[in-house]
Amino acid sequence: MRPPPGPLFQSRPGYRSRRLGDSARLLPMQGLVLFMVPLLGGLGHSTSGGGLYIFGVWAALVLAAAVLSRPLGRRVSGDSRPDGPGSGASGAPTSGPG
Amino acid sequence: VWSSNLLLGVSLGYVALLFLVAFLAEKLAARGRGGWLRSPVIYTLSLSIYCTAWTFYGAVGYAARSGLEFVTIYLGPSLVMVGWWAIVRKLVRIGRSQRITSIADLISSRYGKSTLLGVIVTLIAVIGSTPYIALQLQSVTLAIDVFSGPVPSRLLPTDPNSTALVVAAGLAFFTVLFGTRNLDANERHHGVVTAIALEAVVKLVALLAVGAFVVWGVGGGMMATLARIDASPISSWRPDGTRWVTLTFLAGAAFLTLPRMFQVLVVENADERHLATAGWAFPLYLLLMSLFVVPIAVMGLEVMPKGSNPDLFVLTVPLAYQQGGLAMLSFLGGFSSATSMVIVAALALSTMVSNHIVLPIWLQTRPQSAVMAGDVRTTVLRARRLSIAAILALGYLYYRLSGGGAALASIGLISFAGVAQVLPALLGALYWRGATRIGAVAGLLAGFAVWLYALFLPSFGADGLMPASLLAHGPWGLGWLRPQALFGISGLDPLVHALFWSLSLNTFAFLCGSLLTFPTPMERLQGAQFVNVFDYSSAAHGWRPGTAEAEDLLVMSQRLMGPGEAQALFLAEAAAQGKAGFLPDVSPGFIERLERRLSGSVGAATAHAMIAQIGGNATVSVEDLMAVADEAQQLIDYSAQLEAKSAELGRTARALREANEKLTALSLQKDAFLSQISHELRTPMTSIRAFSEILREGVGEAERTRYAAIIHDEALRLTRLLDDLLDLAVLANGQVKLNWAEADLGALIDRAVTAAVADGAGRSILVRREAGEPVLVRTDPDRLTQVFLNLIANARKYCTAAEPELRIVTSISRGVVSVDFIDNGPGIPAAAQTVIFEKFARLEDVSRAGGAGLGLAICREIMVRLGGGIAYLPGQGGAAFRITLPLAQAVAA
Repeated sequence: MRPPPGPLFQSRPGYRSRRLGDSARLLPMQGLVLFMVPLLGGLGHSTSGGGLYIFGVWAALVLAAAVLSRPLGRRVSGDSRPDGPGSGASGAPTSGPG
Repeated sequence: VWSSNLLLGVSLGYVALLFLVAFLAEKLAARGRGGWLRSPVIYTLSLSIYCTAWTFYGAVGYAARSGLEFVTIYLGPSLVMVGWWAIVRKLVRIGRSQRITSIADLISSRYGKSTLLGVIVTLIAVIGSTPYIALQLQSVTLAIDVFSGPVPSRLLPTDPNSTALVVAAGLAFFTVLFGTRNLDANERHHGVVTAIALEAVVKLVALLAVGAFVVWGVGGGMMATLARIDASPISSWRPDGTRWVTLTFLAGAAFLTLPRMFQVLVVENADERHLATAGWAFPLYLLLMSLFVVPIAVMGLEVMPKGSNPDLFVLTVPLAYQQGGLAMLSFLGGFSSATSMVIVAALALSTMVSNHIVLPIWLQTRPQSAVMAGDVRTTVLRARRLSIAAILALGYLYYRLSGGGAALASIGLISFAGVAQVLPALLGALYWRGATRIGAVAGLLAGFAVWLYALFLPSFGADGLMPASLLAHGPWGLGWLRPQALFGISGLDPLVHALFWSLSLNTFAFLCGSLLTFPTPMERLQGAQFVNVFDYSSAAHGWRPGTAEAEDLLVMSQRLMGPGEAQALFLAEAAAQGKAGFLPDVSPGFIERLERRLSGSVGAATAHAMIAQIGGNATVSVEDLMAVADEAQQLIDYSAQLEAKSAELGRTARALREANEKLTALSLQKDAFLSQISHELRTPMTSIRAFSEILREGVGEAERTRYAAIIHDEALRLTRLLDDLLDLAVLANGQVKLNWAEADLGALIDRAVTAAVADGAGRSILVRREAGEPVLVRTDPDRLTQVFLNLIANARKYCTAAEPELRIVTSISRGVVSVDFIDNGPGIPAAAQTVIFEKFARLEDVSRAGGAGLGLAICREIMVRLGGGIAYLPGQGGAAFRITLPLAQAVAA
């Protein structure tokens, strides 16, 4: 039941598309790190400055996610039926070497 | 002037509007015209039930107490949604491909369709959510209390308990009306979703309006507000690291595991592509919801009298400024937050309770034939409606028992921590094939027990549900078991402490249980399908054929799905098998599809049990599993073979196509050759015939000589043509006999030049030899000279320059001798360069061409025979031909 191995090397569009998925996975981690940065100030911050920082990072995250969402959305299956034939077929397999 | 009666009127009007919207949405969807009802915007807005009344009112209160920490409640879900590609996408795909009806169904289905796990998760969800529902009821009563305080009204209930009761009953009615219309969870609840989308807009607009009023209406703008924050009691912010991290994590975990979030995120998802929009739009929604929280809190702290409840600043601050309309809007926002949460929570919990608790019990207590005898559909729907009522009744009871006091306010995070216990089992279900049922049960029970002991029970305060002595000294005086200082670690925030220990022990038990036990075949089957959901689209089979009767199955399905739908399904299945009528063969594939369809109504475990009752085949054997695996492997092999074959066929077809093209071209060439030859032969023949006729009729002496000369010339031309043709045929057939000899190339060229000039025919041309070193070649000297002659003659014929000149250049490189014949004429157009070596290829200007156009063709044949070649050399400032010859083995200098 092993899935058939994919190609070892991807063509340029395939490669791009995988790195796109990588960046989508990295984005929340990046956000997490940035949201934890205020903990570093041992003496604390002003609420106004801290708030501006938090909301700034937040807005940047929203923006980055919005930019990524268009190409990613195209990779998602468009089949809206619950168990139609296409529901599992499309979308590049996420396993395998990149 | 504000009137409480107006509040009642507006509230009722708003509720009526919600009913109307839900009703219209259902109508539109039923007519198939509700395309926009399944738009990404509606989906994103429906996710906003995450923002309950607790966050609508409570966030401001939270900020008034602890500054920016409130924001963690929104940061967790924002990060989860920004990273939708990693987790949520897989969750939604599994939910859709397995027809998952709830979070309990997902866990139960993944771990071998286990009834026990369904029950455990359902119980955790109910216990965790009931206080939360009570909290929503409390928020509505408190808000109404704010209004009725200054101006008592006879119409408004003065007793908060009766307010809560009315609200709970109204919500139960709404949920039953729009939430239990259809049984199949995969048919979306359009009415409910559209109504909560509207409520999402209302609460966002309300909070933004209050915020804008506070910042620009009375606060004096952005900078002034920032200055006011700096001057407020919460001006400095020193984040508590453990709480900051824990709360962010907890909110993200709860976002995935809260039953109501699972309902809107996975079950009500109509199209996976909506996630791409929700991935950024929902974090944006949360950002906007929290943008003005701190300014409102600061303003409230400033203008409200000491001791007023900061949880109600969203209402009381506008009222303090006599902004009745704004306060009304704010009230509706809070009302929306509360009602939408309760509706979806009741919907999700009732599905879980009816599918995982009521139905299994019902099935157990009936004889085996029950699923065919009773009206299952009605039973399921009734169970669901009763569950909704029961859950809201529980919420109300909890509200009454807890006294509606401050104890409730802290219940939000406690509730989050409770449902977050599902997280390890959930992530294991998605990513780890080694996760087993026993492990999941162990983890859930351990985590739930620690949560109860360390967080939930102590939350009621000393002597609430736990004796004070137990809290202070631990059970039986065992200090290391104190509920809020487990294993002797004291001084931690109780929430952080409880979450750490519950989730740690939960995960530890889950991992150990999974590593030490062996999964049943059904678990392994489901595990593979969940973890590899993107690789496998179709389900593996879990049923042995032939044990269930098609008719029994039809009877049961009719009871559950309704006759029309069940018959349509069976008819389609039979047609797909090539059979007429309603009864398809009971193939494993058919049973699998039927079970999945039924699981969309009653959950995976129950559907499995129901079919098992008919088939008498509740277990999958390892042999079945192996058979399925073999079948799949054979299919893979076969398709690989087919693929190889088709590739081979493709190659053959390509070769055939190329051969065919070559043949067609050859045939055309042959036709053209024949017609050319006839033409070339006919021209001299015609003139010979004409002039001989004239001669026969008798002419004068002078004419006779002239005509005889013409006839002679034409006859010579014919002979030459025939000679050439013969030559070419002999060369092309390879029948020519070559006289190989060593020859000096320079001498051969000299011979050709001398012969060509001596011929005297055509215009004179200046031949310039660039003398190189003497080169010895092994060739047929006569044939090679013939080629040279031909090229020199061509230059004389075609070079139209005023002072015609031909350069002959010899060079050697890499064992190849090349001789270039370059004239200073107009050259040959690029388009013609490819055809000049073909037979009868002559360029347009036929008049000057003495030959039949065979010269270069013959040259090429000769050169090929001699092991060399001839090619046109472009870019030399005139016509240029390059002859290449292999060098003689021993290069003689």
